[in-house]
Amino acid sequence: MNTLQNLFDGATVMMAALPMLMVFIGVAAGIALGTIPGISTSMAVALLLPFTFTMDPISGMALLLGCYKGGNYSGCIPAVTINTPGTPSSVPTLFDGYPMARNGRGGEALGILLWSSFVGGIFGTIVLVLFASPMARWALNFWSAEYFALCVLGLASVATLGGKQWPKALIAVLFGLLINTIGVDPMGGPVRYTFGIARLFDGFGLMPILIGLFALGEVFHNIENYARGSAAHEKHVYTYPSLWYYWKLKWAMIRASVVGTLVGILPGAGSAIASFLAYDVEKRISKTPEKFGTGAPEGVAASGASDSANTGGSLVPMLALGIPGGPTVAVLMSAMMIHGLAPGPEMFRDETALVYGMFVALFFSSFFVLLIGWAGLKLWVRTTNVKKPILYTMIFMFTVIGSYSMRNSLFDVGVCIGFGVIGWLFKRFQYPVAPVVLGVVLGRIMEMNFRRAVLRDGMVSFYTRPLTVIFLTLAVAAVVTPFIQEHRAAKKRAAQAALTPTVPDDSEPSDLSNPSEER
Amino acid sequence: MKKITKWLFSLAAMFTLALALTACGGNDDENGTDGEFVSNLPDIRVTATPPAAPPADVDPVEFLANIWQPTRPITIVTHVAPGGGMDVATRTFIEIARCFTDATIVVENVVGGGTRPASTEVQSRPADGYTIFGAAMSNVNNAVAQQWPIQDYIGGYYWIAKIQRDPAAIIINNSARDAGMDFNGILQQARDMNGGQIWAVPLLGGNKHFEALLTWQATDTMGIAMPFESGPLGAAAVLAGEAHVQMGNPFDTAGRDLWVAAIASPERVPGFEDSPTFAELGFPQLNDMHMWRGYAVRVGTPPAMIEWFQQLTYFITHHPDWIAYNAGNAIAPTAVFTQEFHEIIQETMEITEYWLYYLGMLD
Repeated sequence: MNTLQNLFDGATVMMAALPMLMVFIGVAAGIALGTIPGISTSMAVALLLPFTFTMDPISGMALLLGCYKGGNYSGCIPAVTINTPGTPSSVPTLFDGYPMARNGRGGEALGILLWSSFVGGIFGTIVLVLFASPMARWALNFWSAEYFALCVLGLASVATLGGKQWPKALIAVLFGLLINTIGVDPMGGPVRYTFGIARLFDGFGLMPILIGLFALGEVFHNIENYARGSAAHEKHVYTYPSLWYYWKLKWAMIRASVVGTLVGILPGAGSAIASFLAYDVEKRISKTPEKFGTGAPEGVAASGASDSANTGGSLVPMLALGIPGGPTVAVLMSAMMIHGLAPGPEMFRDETALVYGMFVALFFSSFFVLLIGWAGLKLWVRTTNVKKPILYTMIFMFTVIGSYSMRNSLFDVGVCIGFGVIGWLFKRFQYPVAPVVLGVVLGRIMEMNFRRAVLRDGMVSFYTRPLTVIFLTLAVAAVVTPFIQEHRAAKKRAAQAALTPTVPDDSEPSDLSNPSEER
Repeated sequence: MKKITKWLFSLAAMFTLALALTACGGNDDENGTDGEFVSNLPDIRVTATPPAAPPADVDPVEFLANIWQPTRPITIVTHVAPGGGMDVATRTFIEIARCFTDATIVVENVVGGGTRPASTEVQSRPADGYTIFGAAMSNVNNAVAQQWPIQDYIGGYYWIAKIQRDPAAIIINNSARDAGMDFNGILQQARDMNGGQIWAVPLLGGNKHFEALLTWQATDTMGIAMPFESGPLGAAAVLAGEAHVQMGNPFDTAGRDLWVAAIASPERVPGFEDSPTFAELGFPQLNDMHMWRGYAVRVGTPPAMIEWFQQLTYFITHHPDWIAYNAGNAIAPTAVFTQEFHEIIQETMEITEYWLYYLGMLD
């Protein structure tokens, strides 16, 4: 009852002309900026930050929250249309979104993305409104050992991503982890593998790696296979499914929203873990897991919903504890401080109308995302119909601009091109690229938390803390289960083959994996 | 062929893992160095007259225009991302500067590379006064720790105005305070735990780590400094009970269920009236621990520009908005100029070198 009253008070504050206009402008700006590869959501929010200096706190926060939601959604759009993730958390979106777009199902993929973002956004906000304080207290049970175990669980999704190519996936994830060790030791002190290059003190920038591996890797691969005039340009006619189609994906969206929100609540865990975990969960429980990676709608729905729900989750620790849940929330927190507000339990108590006004702004942001996203759907999907030579040139141009704009650094452009070549080589020799990202994203968090846990309690913490044990057990199960399933299936096939009379020939036994995949 | 491929896979995987683990091994040699400490740092102190306070009845706009008139935008390059401490302070500084000058001043964030790229960027631009380095203590810490050419990265600047003094604070959980814990309780707990008390700091070999070491040295206690990357994550660790104490700044407690058990300040800080100073607690030698932020320009910058900027800083630091902004963040807003600032830089270098040597993190 109290919550309803507070929500009503918040709505009274927020539902005035100026704050609502600011939410709308924020969402529009966030979507516009987020579609540009290289402009992360945190960067988009930071770009709007100075505009809020002269505004009242309500309007200022309305603008920034709108931008947060809009940017979060649109970061996934280039993942679907041009195989370029706008943020690390949008990487799983391209696993199925891009194949769908290539097969002329771009409208469908973008529609799923839009609706899953909407559902995830609303779900995350509801959790924020109802359970912020208890969930934040729950998050405090997470010590370094739990964060490490969660990262291990995230890494275990390599088993899903790799499939039968797990040795290659393992190599790829180790490569990602190795990349992560470059730079100043995150605990402080020694410099590792920089060869005296000052720009490497922070290691490689994450976005140049992502853009290079996926976008440029794809461009180089297509250039290699492109023969002038060999094929007529294929123009797709896009269909936009009915609401019933999206309704059928509701459970995938809800499951992913739960994962996204829960991980979002953990300060410092990051939205990328959530997206990968949500995708992993969806693939594991799917009756047709083999379709994942080739254009499964559930895959797009999972990553989209998880990413969006994560925004609500990451606001929980900020509002309930005063701890930012991620980089974008850190910028939001700075904005609040500039306006003389100190996020945390005191603000929850003393500025109830403002806090609940922010919740109302989040609800409206989700609706505006749906509105603007729906209007822009036909525009974005056209990208996939642009002629290949023009499209590749544009992608190359955007990757250069995007990688440069992160830190105004030409070095990052070089890194991006370098990783483009690596991405192309991975594609050429059929190594999965996604595990590299997983290694890069999780490596630093894993290392920091592992070393902290050991520094504090030694190895004891990994088998005495219940949540750690649960996560590690799940991780082991996640890795082992596919092998057990494969082994059982092979035995079954062998038994069936033994019962069926066969004509002897020189072909390989049926219980072996497809040789073409081994090459 | 298949066997060879599998062997190659395994070999490559093991090699990669070995490399990664080697890198993650960290620095074990943190138990101190027994040799005698000898400083290798150059002296960057200068002798200069601080700017005189302008006459009370002067019109600031006219006064500044008579000293120097910029003809194009001035860029303040800072090493932090938008929203970071120095970034927000500089943007607030610029906002207030509009009351005193028509000059366009913009912020450029050159982040990463352990603060070095920002400094390199400033060094690569002409010493004409149109590029200012928005620096913080970490710039000096890193230059010493990573052994960059000190004459360029510290001695290559004229350190013209320190604008903020962020006092050190020892922070504990509010619930611990309610249970009767205070600074003396922290010391007792440290002795009881025999060196096992966990202190959250942002990173090892950084300013907060030095402050923790200084505190242990002064109070004859010992603990484990554990890096949590940032102030907020350190605060989260204290809230979660993973760390017992946070070595931070008073602002780290803002809005959170945390309490400042001791503060490095000449007197009690408004908004933190129930937090005693180190001097009150019997440790006056800890009362000057703080983190600073300020501005520098390349050596060779026209003196008129330096005077203009210092006078502008004087006006801004006396402006009620600047005072209110700093008070809200528990920061002392007093400005310190040229010679005094150079003394502080020299002191920062020496402290950094001493503790890094003590920790075995410096050759």
